[in-house]
Amino acid sequence: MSEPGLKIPQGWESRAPQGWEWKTLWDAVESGDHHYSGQRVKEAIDAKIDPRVILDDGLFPGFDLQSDRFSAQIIFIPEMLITARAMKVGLALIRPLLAAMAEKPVGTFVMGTVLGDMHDIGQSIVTIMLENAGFKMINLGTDVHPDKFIEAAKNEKANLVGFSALLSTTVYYQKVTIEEFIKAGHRQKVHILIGGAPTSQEWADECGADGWGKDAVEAVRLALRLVKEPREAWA
Amino acid sequence: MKVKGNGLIVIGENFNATRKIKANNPKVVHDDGKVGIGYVDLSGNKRVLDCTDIVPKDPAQRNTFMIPHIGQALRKNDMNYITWAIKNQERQGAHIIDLCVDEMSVYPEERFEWIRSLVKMAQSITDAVVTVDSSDSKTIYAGLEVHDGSKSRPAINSFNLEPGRQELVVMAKDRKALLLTNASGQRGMPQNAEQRVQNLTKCMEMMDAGGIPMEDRFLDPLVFPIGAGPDFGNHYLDAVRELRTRYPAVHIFGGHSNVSFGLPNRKLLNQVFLQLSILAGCDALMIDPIMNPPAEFNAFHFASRALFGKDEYSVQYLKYARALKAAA
Repeated sequence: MSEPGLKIPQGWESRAPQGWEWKTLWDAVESGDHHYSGQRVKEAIDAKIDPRVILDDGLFPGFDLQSDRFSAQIIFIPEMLITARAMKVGLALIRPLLAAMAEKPVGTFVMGTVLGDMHDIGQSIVTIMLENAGFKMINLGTDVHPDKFIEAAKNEKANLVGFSALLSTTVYYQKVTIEEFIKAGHRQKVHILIGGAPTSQEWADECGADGWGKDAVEAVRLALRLVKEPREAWA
Repeated sequence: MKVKGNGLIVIGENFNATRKIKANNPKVVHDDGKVGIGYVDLSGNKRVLDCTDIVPKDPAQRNTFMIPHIGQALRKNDMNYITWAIKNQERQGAHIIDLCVDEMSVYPEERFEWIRSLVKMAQSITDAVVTVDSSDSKTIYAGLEVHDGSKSRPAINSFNLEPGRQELVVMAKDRKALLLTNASGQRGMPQNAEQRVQNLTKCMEMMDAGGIPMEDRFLDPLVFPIGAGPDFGNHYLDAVRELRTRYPAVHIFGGHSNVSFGLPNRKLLNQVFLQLSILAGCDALMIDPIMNPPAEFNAFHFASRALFGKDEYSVQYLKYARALKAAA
């Protein structure tokens, strides 16, 4: 397997002022330096760089590199988390500007841990990663009843819904919750993703989910792919 | 419960259907189109757990495949492997054998069947205390139903404040079971040391009311992986210290190996965390006794108590040292 490398955004110079550099920000996000990432994003905002450009050319490359390394099992969860934090600090500064420009989020994602399961560590990591990737996240927390998932998906006109389960005895509720979406007549309006340590692609197929993420990085890739596939519109 | 020589109580965690080993592990043997896990049973015979039906034929897939060996032994009803997996833990010093079949099926009825047959099987193999372990209380009831209390005491893993678990206290009293109790709250996992102590204090009150003897209570403040949160180690250790001060006579333990989940060189992290836990006040360990042999933690336990002046005139340490010499 070849070592993942930094993917430098093509033509970034043409989207930045004369003499600008992003290298230090790419490195800061990669190494998880959230002080510098915040500072550099502020400088970029002051230099009147388009917030969308700051996100794509400045913040994303370091994050993408660490995601590739995480998938290849070269780095570990804490290293991915520290990078996610550095990205989040920068993103928090540009998010209001994106909203003011009427930039829409990539999609709306309702997330939660299924009924009977109190674990929140895994799904909170996935939530941070999806936020970084541009999704509007609605996190319902743990021990979420199927009705609550359905209500939130309806109110938020969600594109995607994610069910986390960390116990072999609660993965069953991923299936139950999907069945409740079918009964309520909303199954075709959302993509449903499942995840959690005891889950697998086989289980995703068996319970009728649209996808399974083996880890947080996979979940983000899957969500970005699925959100482009059209579903029935919410009323 | 008390163990010989006042050492640590060891709960062997290995008999859990979630347990997996990599298909490219050197223990995995290939012979004449068959694939299996090789092991030497307690009488010294070389044996193989047949895994041919689950290991992918394609070498690329095989490289990343994880073999659920406990689950496989149960499905194949391989009594040699099951016996070895239980007795080998005892040989390494486990006093209590944890039994968990949660991963065998996502469907409750099937899980009940698995735990019933495993409890019966385990009691035919060992006289040690066996723990009926499930994150679903109905599975625990199913396991206890068939447990023969005239052979050995059962243990329950675990009671906590989550809805539907309170009847376990009544059942523990009725069956004279050891009651393993964790810090999970009514509305979710504890977020810090204080919530761990609060939740377990409530459980202690419920066990007082239910008449569970102090020496049958095992408190687990819950270990979360430090890979997911740098403070998770401290949350556990601070809670252990506070609980030990409040309740000198209960047993305190934890799923210690959780701490290293997702990080490299787990054995090292587990080992140091176990030592820190002993210093904080744990007197019981839930471990893989093959990976982290209990003998070294007993040594640490007796020596550190003597060094910290918790062992008056080093009496326990001296007994331990004599027993070691006698065994050599």
